[in-house]
Amino acid sequence: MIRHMNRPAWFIVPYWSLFAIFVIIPVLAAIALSFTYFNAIQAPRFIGITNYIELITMDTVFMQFVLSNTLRFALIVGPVGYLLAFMLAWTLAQISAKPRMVLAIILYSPSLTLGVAMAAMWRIIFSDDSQGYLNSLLINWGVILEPIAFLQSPQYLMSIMIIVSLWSSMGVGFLAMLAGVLNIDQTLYEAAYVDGIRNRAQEIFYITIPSMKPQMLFGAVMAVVTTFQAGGIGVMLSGSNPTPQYAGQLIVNHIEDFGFIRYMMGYAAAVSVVLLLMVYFISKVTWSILGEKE
Amino acid sequence: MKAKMIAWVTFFKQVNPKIIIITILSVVIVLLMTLSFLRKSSDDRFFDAIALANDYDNVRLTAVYNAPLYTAMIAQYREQGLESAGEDHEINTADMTGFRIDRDDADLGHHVAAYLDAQDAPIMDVLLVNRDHSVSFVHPGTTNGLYYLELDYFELDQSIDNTQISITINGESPFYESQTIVLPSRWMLSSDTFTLDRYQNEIQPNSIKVQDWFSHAIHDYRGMHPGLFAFHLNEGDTITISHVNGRLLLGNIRYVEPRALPTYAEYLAEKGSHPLSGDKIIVAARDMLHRNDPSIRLRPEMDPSNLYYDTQFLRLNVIFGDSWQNAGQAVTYAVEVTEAGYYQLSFKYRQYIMRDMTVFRKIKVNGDVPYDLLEHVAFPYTTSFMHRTLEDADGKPLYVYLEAGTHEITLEAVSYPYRQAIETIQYVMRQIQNMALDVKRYTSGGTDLYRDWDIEAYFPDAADQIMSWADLLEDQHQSLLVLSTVNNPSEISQLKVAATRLRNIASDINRLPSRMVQFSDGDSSVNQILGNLMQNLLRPNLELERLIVHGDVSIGRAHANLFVTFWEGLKRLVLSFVNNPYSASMQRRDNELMVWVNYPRQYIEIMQTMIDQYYDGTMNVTLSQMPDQNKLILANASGRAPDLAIGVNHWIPYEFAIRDASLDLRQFAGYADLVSNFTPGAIIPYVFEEGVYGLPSTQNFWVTYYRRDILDSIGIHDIPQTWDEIIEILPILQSYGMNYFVPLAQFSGLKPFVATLPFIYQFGGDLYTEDGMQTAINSEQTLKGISLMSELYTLYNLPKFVGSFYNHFRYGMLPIGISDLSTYILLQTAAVELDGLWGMDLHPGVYHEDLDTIVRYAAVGAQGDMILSTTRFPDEAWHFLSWWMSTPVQSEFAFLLQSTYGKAYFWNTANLEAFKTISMPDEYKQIVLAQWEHAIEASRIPGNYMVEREISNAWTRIVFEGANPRQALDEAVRISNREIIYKMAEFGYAFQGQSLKPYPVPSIYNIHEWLTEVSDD
Repeated sequence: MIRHMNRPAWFIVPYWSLFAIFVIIPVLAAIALSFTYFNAIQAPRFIGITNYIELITMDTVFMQFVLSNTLRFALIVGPVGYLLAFMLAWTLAQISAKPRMVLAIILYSPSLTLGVAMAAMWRIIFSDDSQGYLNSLLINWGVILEPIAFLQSPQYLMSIMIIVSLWSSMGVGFLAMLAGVLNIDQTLYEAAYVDGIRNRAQEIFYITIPSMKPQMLFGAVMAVVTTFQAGGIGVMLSGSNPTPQYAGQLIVNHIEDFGFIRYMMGYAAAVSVVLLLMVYFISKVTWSILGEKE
Repeated sequence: MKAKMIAWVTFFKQVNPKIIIITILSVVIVLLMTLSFLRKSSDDRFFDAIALANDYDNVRLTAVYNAPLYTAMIAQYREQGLESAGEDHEINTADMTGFRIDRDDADLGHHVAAYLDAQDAPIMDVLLVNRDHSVSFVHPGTTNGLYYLELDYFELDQSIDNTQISITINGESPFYESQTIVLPSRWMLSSDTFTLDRYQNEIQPNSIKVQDWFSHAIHDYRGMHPGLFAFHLNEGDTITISHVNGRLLLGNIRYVEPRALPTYAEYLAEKGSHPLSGDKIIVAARDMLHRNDPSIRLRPEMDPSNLYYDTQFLRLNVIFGDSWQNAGQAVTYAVEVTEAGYYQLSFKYRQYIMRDMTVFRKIKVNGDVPYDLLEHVAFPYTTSFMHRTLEDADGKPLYVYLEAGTHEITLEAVSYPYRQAIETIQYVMRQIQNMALDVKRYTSGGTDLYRDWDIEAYFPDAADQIMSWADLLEDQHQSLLVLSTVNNPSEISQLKVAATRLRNIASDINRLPSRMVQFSDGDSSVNQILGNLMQNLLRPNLELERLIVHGDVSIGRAHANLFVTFWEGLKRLVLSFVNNPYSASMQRRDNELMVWVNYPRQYIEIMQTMIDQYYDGTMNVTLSQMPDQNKLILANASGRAPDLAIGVNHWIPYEFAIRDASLDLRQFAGYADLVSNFTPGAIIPYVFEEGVYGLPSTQNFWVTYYRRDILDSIGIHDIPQTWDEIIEILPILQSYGMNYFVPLAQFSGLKPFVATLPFIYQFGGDLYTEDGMQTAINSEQTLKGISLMSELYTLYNLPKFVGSFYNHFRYGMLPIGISDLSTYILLQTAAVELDGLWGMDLHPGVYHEDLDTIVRYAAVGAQGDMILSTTRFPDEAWHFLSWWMSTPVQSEFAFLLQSTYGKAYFWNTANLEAFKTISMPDEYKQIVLAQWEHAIEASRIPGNYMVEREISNAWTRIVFEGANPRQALDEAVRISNREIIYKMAEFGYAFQGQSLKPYPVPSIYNIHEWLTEVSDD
């Protein structure tokens, strides 16, 4: 008996069972549901790829707003947040340990407290009446005469979403990069100076980045995934799903809209499969840019 | 010696972090234990408030009310040298005029007989006071002077509201307070034993109003003026007592001579020397004999030292402070004394609301205050429960003399010592508001920082005035310090903050217009600081756990020791994993109706008791709390749905109906009867095809709220009834920097139907075409509505976003606006400073010439009930639902809810007949009922959410992007129609864009077709 148990596969069982329950089964369920008509109340009915056809041919909101919004949001917040995370991590690595710890916590905490901060801070800063901080400041400086409805009027919502997301983007990826920078063997730098590099910029490009490729990759993947998954932010800021004139509608909002407002779970599942594919594709691209090539 | 040295050295060598941590921990634990025994457990300090309570000099009063305040009357009495006429005289009912009721009356005869039989003097009848009848008599005395009234009365209503009368002399009310005089009721718990719910937690029994004859000497119920109200009467004056709220029978009226309270020394001298008792009588706060307001309620406090306590289950053991925070509320206890003698009074209490300050209770023994120190007994600030033994200024305990027998001890909430502070604050607030209005008239509400205003020239004494208000506030701060436990009490520090702010403003008076946010408007303005402070001072919040009447014996400590607390806490932690009442259970038994309820726990407890008591169906009914409504959908998907869902959002039954998951109620016998109690408009959202798949359980109302004081002072005397009239008053409002509030501004992002419907239906528009396949929002009528809806913002400059109308209403920045039930509850229960200063009127509408009426449609949707189609017991479920929504059950529920939990638990039942019996001031109730005649809701069709969304988007496009309304609507129609036809195809009403069969659309114009039953076959 013990001999039967004594196989390496058993060591993977805990991981695999959890992974199966929490990842594989839900994903498969979502894929299965995406081929059905399911209104959350009656039993699902198989309808083939109709959901996908409708998504591509009929869903103007998806094509006109959601897709472009999501791409715009992800392409700005993802790379900019990623660069920001690297720059801050590198800068932090240059200072001594104690202040570094404090600053790291300060930078990291927004990503944890986004929900609370949203209610307590951002909604007040951008509040639509003249008592919002920003409006009040602008009025006092004489820039504007009437308060701007930042959170309600479509032309501002997306920019505000981007600003708030960047503020909270120093997440796990940032911590990983910080750890990566700190882990680099200092002798490498010394050796490099002996070999003739001359400045900090060269240090970064020739030593730092190559030495922390795994962390860079991890950070990039995290940045991509989180930005695509971000959905709550526009809804939290504007206070409603859908956001006014779909100005801040991201793909996750679209899924919620169909799943819980229109009771079209099958369709929502189809959209989420598309999201899954997008995330998968983009992380593949990231992988191919930053990953180890063996 | 050396060995010792070595021992020490090895000791230090062995010291490592582990040992250090263990040592520190054990030292801390020992220290904590020692300290816990030294923990402060009683606060007996004396606070001298007599001077403050009786100080009528330096009176600063506001003249916002329609009659002088009583404080001003006292000043006037003094000025005129009036004194008590000193007459004790009884006015028999025979000498009064009014509607007489004698002992032969069919309904009320026995009440009359009970009174007449108890009287010495022969009288024949008593008088009825109600909405149509008042009572008056001619002053029989000849002396010109002050008179104090006492009257005998019998309350006829079981209503939760206080019975109120007004007293006028020669048709005029002598002072403001005389317009609403409360005649206290007596409420007793319906049983001494507290029943347990099915989770072993105690439920507070409901309260019953004692119906009996009482005598009441007219005094200030609001706890501002000690003693009785004095009325100045001349020979031949006619005194009239009229109805304000509640019906009552009035017996004899007496002139009484108020007794000057003896000082403590006089009291002792009068009682003579008696032994100090050796007894200790403990009365738990929950064992109330009676109380004068059913809102006073109990709550469980998990403290092992309490008289009633259980580790696992909730025991009601303290009076909930939030329910005992209005002056005038009194609780009476019965104390059995076995041996006569002097006794001390001790209380276990907590007062955690008024920080660093004291609250006051008047203590009466057998209905009278024994001596002056007990007229207002201070309870200082404490965050944990403490004992308080009453003491005098020298720290010696106060005694009361009690004979053997039963004594009644009453604690009444009063705020006498805070009167002057409150009046001063009110005065300053009023002055600030007036000055702000004047300044705004001059600046037209401009706040531009870079514009130079010449305030000094136009208001030469403004700066001096503001300075003098600052002085007033600082004086008050100084005089309130005697009521504080510390040198710098945080509660009233706001007075100093306000004073400093005022001085700052005064020092640079020309910048006042740009500093309006600091002065009169906004969250942190002086006006708001003072308003909040006043509200706090008016809140004598006190929690009471027990009352101890004792002689010279120790009363122990007010809390359990550390070990007990720790052990109990540990047990509770473990038990908290198993104990979870009213959670939505998934198991179902036979012969059991599962009902999921979407109300808070308190409501469910009362529902359950009512079901246990009154429900006569064949099934057991089990209530579970619905944690969130999506769970209903999930439960349905997994086939474990309940039989009934109660209190779900009003749009949910339709979503279930169209997916065949809820039952048509029209098939049941009794539907037509039941539904005749509802307003037809409220049924609209439950209609699907021929059926009605739910019933409204609660109902909202959107009405106009307005500030009488502000509108009066800026010259708006008629409340606008139509949108045109609103537009007419806007220039006046806006010239003062104020505005009108329309609920569109309360929803950021999506503007839901509730905000947009009035505009569409009031102009005669409709949401959908008759066959349901298209939206009709591009009709001429709707276009008018949408244009108005956006012009209010683009042309007339209404605020586009308002976080909280209630707050802006309090600050006076939005003195008029449309809001709903929640604002009503807040104004009724939370905004003390606005008492009597606000009013309610119907929702504004559109005048239609052809009908010659104002059409005032407004949405009413709140929550609804439905029967799920998976139920195995449809008839039983309907039996329960029709029982639950029936008029007697709904009015009883509304009453029980408030009589158990207080007035904030307002039950806005959708059953109109039941609503008529609800406790709500008559003037407001009539308005709500009238508004409900214009009740509408959005019709539900597949895809209606897109119409809601597109109306909102059209509004956004017009208001923020300047689009043309016609274009914006056309775009909205295009998108909506597409979605509707798509959704119609999903449900089989259309195929490939072509309508297959018509979809019947309910609306306010044809809803009556759905109000009848349909036979099943």
